[in-house]
Parts: sequence; C-alpha cells; structure tokens
Amino acid sequence: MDGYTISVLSNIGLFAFLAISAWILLIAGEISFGQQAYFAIGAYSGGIATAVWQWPFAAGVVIAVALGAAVGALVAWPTMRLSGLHYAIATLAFAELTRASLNVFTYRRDIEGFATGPDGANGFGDIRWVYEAGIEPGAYLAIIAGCLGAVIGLVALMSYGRGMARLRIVGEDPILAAMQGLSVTRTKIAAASLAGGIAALGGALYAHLATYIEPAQFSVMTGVHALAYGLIGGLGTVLGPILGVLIDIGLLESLRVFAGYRMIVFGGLVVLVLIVRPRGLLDEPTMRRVQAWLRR
Amino acid sequence: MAAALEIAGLSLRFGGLTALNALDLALKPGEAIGLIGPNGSGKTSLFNVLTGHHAPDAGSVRLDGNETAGLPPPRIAALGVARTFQNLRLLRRLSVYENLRAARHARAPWREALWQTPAARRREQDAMISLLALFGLASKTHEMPEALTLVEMRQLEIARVLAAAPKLVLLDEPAAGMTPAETDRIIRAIAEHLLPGRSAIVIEHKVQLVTALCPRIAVLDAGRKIADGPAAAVLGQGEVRRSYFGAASC
Ligand SMILES: Nc1ncnc2c1ncn2[C@@H]1O[C@H](COP(=O)(O)OP(=O)(O)OP(=O)(O)O)[C@@H](O)[C@H]1O
Ligand SMILES: [Mg+2]
Repeated sequence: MDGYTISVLSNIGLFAFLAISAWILLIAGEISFGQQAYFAIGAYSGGIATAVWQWPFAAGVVIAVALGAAVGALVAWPTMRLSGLHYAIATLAFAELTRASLNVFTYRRDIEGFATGPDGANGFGDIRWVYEAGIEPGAYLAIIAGCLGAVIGLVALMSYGRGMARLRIVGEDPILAAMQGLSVTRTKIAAASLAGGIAALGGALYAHLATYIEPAQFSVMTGVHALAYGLIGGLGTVLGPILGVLIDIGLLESLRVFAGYRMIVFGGLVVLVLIVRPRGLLDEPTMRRVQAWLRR
Repeated sequence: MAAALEIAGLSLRFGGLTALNALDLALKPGEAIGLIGPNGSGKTSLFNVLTGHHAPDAGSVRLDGNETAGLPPPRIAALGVARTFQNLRLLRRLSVYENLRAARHARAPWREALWQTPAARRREQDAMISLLALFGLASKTHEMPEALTLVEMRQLEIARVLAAAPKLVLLDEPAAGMTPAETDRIIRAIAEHLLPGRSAIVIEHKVQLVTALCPRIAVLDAGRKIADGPAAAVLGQGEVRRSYFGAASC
C-alpha cells in the first residue's frame, strides 16, 4: 500500500469512531451535535498520558476511553431529561464549552529539555510515542483497524445480547420502554457513556497519528459530519456510519472528482438521502431483508 | 384473602378536567373485573396511573400490599403489572420477535446486555416462539409489525403481556375493531392463556367480551365508579344503562 492510501484509510478509520459514537445516540433516540468533544477529550488525555506523563501507549488509550465514558455519563445525567432539539442544543453547547476550555487549558512539563503539553489555543504538539516506538504508518493503520474491529465486535455482542435491543426500544418509544420495565434514563446514560468512550478511543488514536492537536480541530463541523455519516449510511447496522464515512472521505474526498465542491456535494447527498430514506441507506427494513436472506 | 390490588380515593386531574374522581376498587387474587363506561370516563386514565405513566393527584394504589401510586413505570412493571394499549403500541422498527422479547429485557441481568450465552438465547427463542404459536403468530416471527392484521397486532400485544409474566394484567379494549368471530377468538385466547392465575382488569365496550371473561363488572362515569358487582346485576341497572349504553350508542 502506498502512503496516500494508508493515510486515507487511517482517516476513514478514525472518523468511523466518531460516526459510530453519534450513531449509538441516534439509535437511543437522541441527536448529538457534540461527539467531537469526546474525540477531543480522548485526544488530549491520551496525548497527555504518553507525551507528558510518559506512560505507555496502551495505558494512554485506556485512560482516554475511561475519561470519555465517564464524562459521557456525567454530561448525560442532567441532559437526558431534555428531549429532541433541547438535547441537541445542550450537546452542542457542551462541545463548544469543551473547545473553549481547551483554548485556555495549559499544562506543560519539561520533557527532555522541551516544554511539552497542551498550550491553550497554540495546541499540543510532540505527541510522539508512535514515532519513537518506530511504528510504521501501515502498522498504525492495523492498530486503528484492530480497535475499530473491537468496537464493531462490541456492538455485535450487544446485538446478540440485549444491549442494542434495549437501546432501540428506548429510542423508538420511551413510554413503552418504561412500561416494559426499562429505565429510560439509565439506558440513555449507558448509551452516552458508551458513545463517549468510543469517540475518545478514536481521539486518542488520532492524536498519536497527527502528533499535533489543537482545539480548532474539534469544531462543530466535525460533529455535524459525524452525525451525517450515520444518517446517510443507515441506522439499521453499525456498518451504516462506516458506510457514511466511506462515502464522504473514501469517495468524495479521495477521488477528488468534486474537488472544491465536496462540501456542497456531500451536503446535497445528505439532504437527498434524508428525503428518500429517512433512516439512511442501510436502514432497519434493509437489514431485515438481509437477515431474512441469510436465514434461507 | 388480602386483595391483590387495592385502589383507594384515587384522583387524577388534567388541568381543570377530572379524569379520575376519588375512585375505590379492589381486586381479589385471580379475579378478573370488567371495566366499562362511556368515552372519556377515565378507563384508560386508570391504566395510565396503574402503570405509573401518570402520577395520581390523590389516593393510593396497593399491589400485593406495596404502594405503587407515583412510582415510575419501570418500578411498577417490576412488581408485575403489564398492559395492552387501546391504540396499539408496537415497535414499528423491530420484528414481531423483538417486539415480544421487549417484555423480557428488563428482568434479565445487566450482563446479558453484552452477552447472552447461545444456550440461553436459544431457550428464550423457543419460549417466545411457542408464545407466538399460542396466538397463531409463529409464522410471523420475523415479520415487521406492519405486516400483521389488526387482530394479529392485538394478539401480539397480548402475547407481550404474557411474555412479561405479570401478576396484574390490564387489557385496554382488546377486541376493538374486531368482527364478532375475531372477538370470539380473542376471548378464547385471553381466557385460556392470560387469565388463569392472574388478576385482571379488562376495559371493553363489547358486552360479549366483558361478560365472557369477567364475572364482575365496574362502571365508570366521569371518573367516578357508579356501579360495581356481578356482571348480570350491573348490566341490568337503570343508571348504568342510561349512562353507558345511552352514550355509547350514539
Ligand atoms: N394526557 C392527557 N392530557 C389531558 N387530558 C387527558 C389525557 N389523557 C386523557 N385525558 C382526558 O381525560 C378524560 C378521560 O380519558 P380516558 O382516555 O381515560 O377515557 P376512556 O374512558 O379511556 O375513554 P375511551 O372509551 O374513549 O377510551 C378524557 O376527557 C380525556 O380527554
Ligand atoms: Mg380509553
């Protein structure tokens, strides 16, 4: 594989975490414009762990996921009482608050003669663990793919068990869900925590690939894209948001056919899909047909 | 014997409208009571309070001695209350099988959210499919609810109640929109599978169904209980005839 292909695939993989994160909340019936905040939390905490504290990479990833999941649950606790538009705006506000806080967040330490760590709006560079460990881009792509595989596997387990069914029931009809004995608040907090952890995982992986991160990278547009990926790819399967990323980054960006007009083409595509298939290309009826076909 | 369900002084108001007005009603264990009354008399509202969807403004509800008035719906469901819905409440985006299984998630341990052993999953599948078979729905297991007829949808809701293994069953017009033949079928299904060993309240406008299933009938009018007793006696009362059949025949 050449360097360009590897970098596109890495990008697709990293965005997939964010897209799956937003997708999980869509399944639970909530629209979040703020998953980029957890991506940022993962990027910063993972970066601090390896670059400032000099922890091993795996420990940095674990702390990022734990922090993303914890903040996700903590933010969900008061906001889950909000519904629809109000929840969406609250997530947006939280994400912008996070970005604004990172703009003034400075935490630097002297590492081998260099001041290392986040420096407010100037960003956070020298997250060099991957390069110092001599991991090639191809090998790092394999790490990204492995982590993404683990997330897909987790969702597959939840689909086999009761987790996804719980999320879907609460997402479709919270009143019925409650009368079936499911705690709507607890289910949604669990979903938000899961979504936060997954986005943070992507963020930690991103920080170590980019080596330099800054608050401006985690803007609202990032979150809007993440949401759109699930909406066009489809809500019927976890492969839906990944399909969305593939369409946007894999097709529109990489083929460069729409160079300069990509945002317009993508925006138009989202609108078109939402009109024709409100729950995306791989929506629930499509997946039902696939399953019926597999059963034969 | 202690009452399975004891409702005392129950009141529910929506702004200026009194949906339930100091209602008293007690059910013995295993007893099925028919609840009738004109449109808007508060029958569905009573179910909404009994399931925790609405918190009452006054009064108490005791289920096997536990106070449930004002508890959130999941807590009440856990105490063994399950219902059907007058306007049907099926999950459109989930299959018939998943709709039925919806009744089972809450009582399963949390770890099963992540991992259900294949054996446990198969056991559950067998149980659900034999439940569907009881209502002639086995061939529809993997269909979406929209592929069902009205009768089948009501049967699925009743099967879902059964899947929850409740102590108290609340049926809200289980035969609404059905022909007399279909009504007969649903009466038989309820009598055979749902009522044995459970207490039940059955809301129904169809006298055929109420008298077939419930030896006792209570009548609501404007949120008040205006009659309560053996079916034949209650249906013969002049006040009931005027308030109920007079209003319902328009
Ligand atoms: N959520 C609500 N908000 C406001 N008013 C309500 C609400 N639910 C019911 N009501 C009112 O309460 C009264 C009782 O309604 P309810 O649905 O309990 O009647 P019902 O006996 O079930 O009637 P029907 O036979 O038509 O089903 C009606 O006047 C209704 O408009
Ligand atoms: Mg009603």
